[in-house]
Amino acid sequence: MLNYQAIQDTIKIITDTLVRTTEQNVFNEIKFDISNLINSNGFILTVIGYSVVFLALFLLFIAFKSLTHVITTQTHRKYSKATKIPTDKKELNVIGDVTAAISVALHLHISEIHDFESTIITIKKIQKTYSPWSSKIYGLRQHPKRF
Amino acid sequence: MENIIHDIEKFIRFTGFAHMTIGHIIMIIVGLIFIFLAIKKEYEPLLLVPIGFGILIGNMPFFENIGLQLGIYEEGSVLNYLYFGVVKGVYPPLIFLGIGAMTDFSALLSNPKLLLLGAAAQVGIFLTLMAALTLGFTLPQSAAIGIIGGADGPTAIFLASRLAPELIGAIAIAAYSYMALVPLIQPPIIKLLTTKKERLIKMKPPRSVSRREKIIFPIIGLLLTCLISPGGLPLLGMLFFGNILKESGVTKRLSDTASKSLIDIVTILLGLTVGASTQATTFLTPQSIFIFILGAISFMIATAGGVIFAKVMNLFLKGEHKINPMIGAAGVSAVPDSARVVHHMGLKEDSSNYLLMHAMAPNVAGVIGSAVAAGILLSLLLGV
Repeated sequence: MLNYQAIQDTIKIITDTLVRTTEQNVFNEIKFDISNLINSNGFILTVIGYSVVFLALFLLFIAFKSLTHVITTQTHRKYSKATKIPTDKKELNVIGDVTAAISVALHLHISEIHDFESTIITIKKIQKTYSPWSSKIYGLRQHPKRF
Repeated sequence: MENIIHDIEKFIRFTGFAHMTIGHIIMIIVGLIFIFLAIKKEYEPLLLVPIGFGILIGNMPFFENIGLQLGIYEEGSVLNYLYFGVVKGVYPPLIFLGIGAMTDFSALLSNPKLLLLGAAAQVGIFLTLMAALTLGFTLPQSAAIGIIGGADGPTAIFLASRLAPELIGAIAIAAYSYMALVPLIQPPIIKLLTTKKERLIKMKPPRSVSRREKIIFPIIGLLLTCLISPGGLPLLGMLFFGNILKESGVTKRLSDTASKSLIDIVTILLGLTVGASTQATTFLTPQSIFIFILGAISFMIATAGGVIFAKVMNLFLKGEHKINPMIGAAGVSAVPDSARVVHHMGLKEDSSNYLLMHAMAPNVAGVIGSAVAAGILLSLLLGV
C-alpha cells in the first residue's frame, strides 16, 4: 500500500510555503522616519565622512602637483647643465601622444634595420681555403663505383 | 513492500522539488538573467557569470539543517568555507592587490586635479547613508548600503562584512549588478546634466609621466590616505602594494601573478560565493528590496555628483585646461567600465574626441576615494 499520508503531508508543506511567500507584504517592515537621521548622528557622520574623503584626495592632489613641479625643475636643471642651451621648462613636458609616436617610429626603424642586416648576411660571400677533409667531392653522398 | 515505499517517500522528501518555494524560483530566474546579460550583452561577464551561476548553486533547494552540510550558511559545508573569505573580508584586499598591479596611474599623475572628481562622486555614498537611515536601517547598516554608490564591489563587501554582515549578500549583489549595468545607468544621467557644447570639449593630451613619479605615487598615496583614514588600510595598502610591484619594474613575476592568476582565482571564489549567498530563504526579505532601490539611487547620485563637480571646476579653468564634464561620471570607481562608457559617449558626439585616458584618471581616483570613504566609515562606526 502507498503511504498516501506522507505524500499528502509533503504536498501540504509545499503549498503552505508557497502561500506564505506570496502573502508576505514586503513593505510592512520598513517605515519612513526622518527622526532616525537626527537621533543617530547620521547627518554629522555624513558631513565628517565626506569632508575627510575630499581632504584625503585634495592632499594627494597637492602632493602630486608639487611632486610634478619638483621633478620638472630638477630635469630642467640637469638638461640645461648637460646641454648648456637655455630651454623653457614647458619644452620638457612631452605629451603622451608624442612619446607614443616616437616609440612607434623607433620600433619601425629598428625592425627595418634588422631586415636589411639579414639580407646582407644572406648574400655575403665567405672565402674559405680548400681542404679535402671538408670537400663535398669526397663526401659520403657519393656512391662507390663498381669496377 | 512497505520498506520500498518508505524509501521512495524518503527520496521524495530529500529531493529539491519537495523544498522548492517561489523564492527559489525567483532567485533562479535572477541567476539566469545574470548569465544571459553576461553572455549575450557582455555586461561584466567576468563577474556576472560566476555570480549568476553562484545564484543557481545557492538556490538549489534541499533539506536544510539536518546535518547534510550543503548550504552556504551551514557550518562545515564546502561553500561555507569558501564564503569565509567574504564574511571575514579576505577576498576584497586580494582583489585590490590585483587592481593595483593592473592599473596605470599615469593619466591621474599627468593631471592630478582630476583626483577631485573621484572625491566628488563619493557624494552618492553619504546621501544614500542618510536616506537609508530615514528608512529605519541602523547606522552601520546604512553605511554599508551607502557604499554601493562607490560602485566598487570589493569595497562594498569589505565594509558590509564589518558593519552589517547580515546584509552582505544583498549589498554585494546590488553593487555588482549596478557595476555591470553602468552602460545603461550612466549615459542618460550624463546627457541630462551636460549640454552638447560641453560634451564636445576636447581636453589637452596627457603628458608623459616619468618612471620616478610612477614609483613615488604608491608610496605617497599609501602614506597620505592611510594616515588620514587608517580604516581603509587593508584595501589601500594592497592597492598601492600591487601598484609598486608593477611600477618598480624589478618584480615582474610578482606583478604578473597579482594581476593575472591571483585576481582570477579570487574573482572566481568571490563571485561564486557571493552569488550562492543569495539563498532564497535568507536573501528574499523586504530589506533586500530596499537595498536594491537605495543602491540604484546611490549610483545615480554618485554619477550626477561627479558630472556636476566637473562643471563647477570648469568655471575656474580656462582655455585648453577645461575638462569635459562627462569624465566626472567616471569618478564612480567602476573601473574601467565607466571610463569606457564616457569614452564611447565622447566618440558618439565627435569621432575624433578620445576621452578614455582622461576618464581613467577620475576612475582610478574613485577607487581610492571609495576605499577612503569605507575606511572613515569603519573608523567612525566601529570606534564608537
